[in-house]
Amino acid sequence: MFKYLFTYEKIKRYLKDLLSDEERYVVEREIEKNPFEKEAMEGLEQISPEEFAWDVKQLQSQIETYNNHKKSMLFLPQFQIAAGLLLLLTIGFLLFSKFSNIKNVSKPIVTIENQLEKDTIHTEVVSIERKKELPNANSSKSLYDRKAVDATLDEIRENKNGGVVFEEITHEDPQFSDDDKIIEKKLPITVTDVVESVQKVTNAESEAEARVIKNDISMDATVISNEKERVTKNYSGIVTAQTDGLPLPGVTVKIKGMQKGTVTDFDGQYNVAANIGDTIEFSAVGFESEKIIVSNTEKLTNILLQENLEVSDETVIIGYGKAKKQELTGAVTSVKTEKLKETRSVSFEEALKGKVQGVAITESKQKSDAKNDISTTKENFKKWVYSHLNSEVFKKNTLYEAEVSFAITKKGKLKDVVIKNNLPLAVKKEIERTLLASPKWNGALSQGKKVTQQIDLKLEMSF
Amino acid sequence: MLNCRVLFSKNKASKSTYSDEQLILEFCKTKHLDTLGELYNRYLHLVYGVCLKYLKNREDSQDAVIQIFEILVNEVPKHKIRVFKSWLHGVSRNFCLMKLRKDASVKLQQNSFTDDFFVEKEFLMHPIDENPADLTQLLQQCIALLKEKQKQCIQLFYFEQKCYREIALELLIEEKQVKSLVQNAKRNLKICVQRKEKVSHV
Repeated sequence: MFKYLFTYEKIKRYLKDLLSDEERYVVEREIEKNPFEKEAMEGLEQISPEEFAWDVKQLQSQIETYNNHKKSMLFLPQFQIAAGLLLLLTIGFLLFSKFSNIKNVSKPIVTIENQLEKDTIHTEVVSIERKKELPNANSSKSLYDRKAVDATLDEIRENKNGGVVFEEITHEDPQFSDDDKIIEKKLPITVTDVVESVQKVTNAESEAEARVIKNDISMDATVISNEKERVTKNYSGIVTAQTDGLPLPGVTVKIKGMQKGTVTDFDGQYNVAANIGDTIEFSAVGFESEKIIVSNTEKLTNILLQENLEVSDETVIIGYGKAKKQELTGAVTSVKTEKLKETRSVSFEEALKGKVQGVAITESKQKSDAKNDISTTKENFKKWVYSHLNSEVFKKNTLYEAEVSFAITKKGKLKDVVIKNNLPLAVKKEIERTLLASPKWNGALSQGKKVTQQIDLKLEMSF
Repeated sequence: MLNCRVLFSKNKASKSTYSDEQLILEFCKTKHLDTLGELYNRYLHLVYGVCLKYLKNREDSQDAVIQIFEILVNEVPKHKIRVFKSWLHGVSRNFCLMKLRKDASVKLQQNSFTDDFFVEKEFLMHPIDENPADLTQLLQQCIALLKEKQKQCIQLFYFEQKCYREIALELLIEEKQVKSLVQNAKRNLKICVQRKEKVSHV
């Protein structure tokens, strides 16, 4: 019994050289006899006896902790059985309660399918449900069977006593926000006219909620509109300034409640996908934002933006960044914006013509030349980018330089942004984001055909 | 029957008096890790040594010892183990060889271990390791046929009962050399005896 410890102890002492020759012999014979010991001794030659003793102790305690850890993890089979039984009981109880609930409600579930005209496929469902439970609005299958509708309508017809009244609740302004939100409306219908009213509602173009008010049972009917079922239409138009009617590029066009939006291109045009009833907001720096509600038309909606009358510090735009006038030391000539506005010009440069002494601005006469168009477009674009960068990402009063290059597809879409400088990641990401959010470019023409182009820009930003 | 009574009368503290087989039985029954731990502790130093031999470094060997224990937890109930010590030896050896195979960079070390997977061999390796006194004639003949140094080592170790150190001093060679001489001698004796046995059987 103790021979196991005996071996270990002996080996230890053998290694530590604490044994006499006779004792050594005994151990050695033992080792020769046992292949296990023999191999072990070959391995143990590599380490010192102290290390050996220390390691073995450590290993033994490690095993102990491992066992204890495993013990706490391992549940006795009894516990497992108990846990399993408990789980089954809970499930059974839940099922039972659910089942009994269904039986309690004697009133039928009325589902009215609301089908609109074909080109705007809005399918909304009206269902009267128990107050407690609402159907899973998030399921893609939120349409109820026509069969169920008919069946329940029959039931209502039969059940004429009690004066089931449907009340109409109308909302002031229907707001369509996140997918599958429940919008409530009421309709006045009496029991006798249930069938007709239901049919009326079916034909109506608006969402309907039927509220059943009875003596003791009141149920809420809710409209569940599944936005996924809707077809979004594209609405387009031009945004112009109210004062002079000039198209405004870079105006943010955002649909309320959605994360999507777009920006007007250099001709002020925009194209956005929206649903009827959505609110679209147009906003731009220096202008009052404008909201419109999408109606049933497909027409081009032209938006006029009013200038913002807020006064801000005079900002001087210098060739290498922006600086407040007070901070400048170089030669500065101020040109009032009113003066610029007086000129009927398409671009900033044109407006500046003749306004500053010693500065001559000429336009190249070539037309439809991709190169020249690009240089002016590039400048405009850069300015747009500067104005749309989120300055929070940038350190104040620091000049950031970035050589960016990107591709413009045949259709004018900007992609594949490459930023060459060593900039903080947040800055790079912000630049990339802004570039990708920029308005569309005009596809380049080369020998009359549309081609993709590669643009390289040097951006200099300072905030 | 007696064994069972013995089992139940002993409490946890005196587990050290159990035999290997008893511990295995108890572990198979109760799945108490402590039982297996007790058993493993008896041979842990040997497992460690074997791992050191193959894996060459302490950290890896220590990890291996723990991993082998985990293997035991699963494997002990599965197999019919006759002698735990030699079975454990086999398991450790196989584990180390497997691990070496996985480490592609250690191909060199692998080559030095040409005899591959280790099957539970007989407990008796060499007849001479038993009692040298009742050596067969055959064996004695073979010893006479050994090379000089090997013969001397065998003589001194088995018959004069001298430890390696003494032999080393006497023959003016290193202890390691003594060990390897004894090793080779034993192998040669085995071959010789087997050959002779074949001849005699024919």
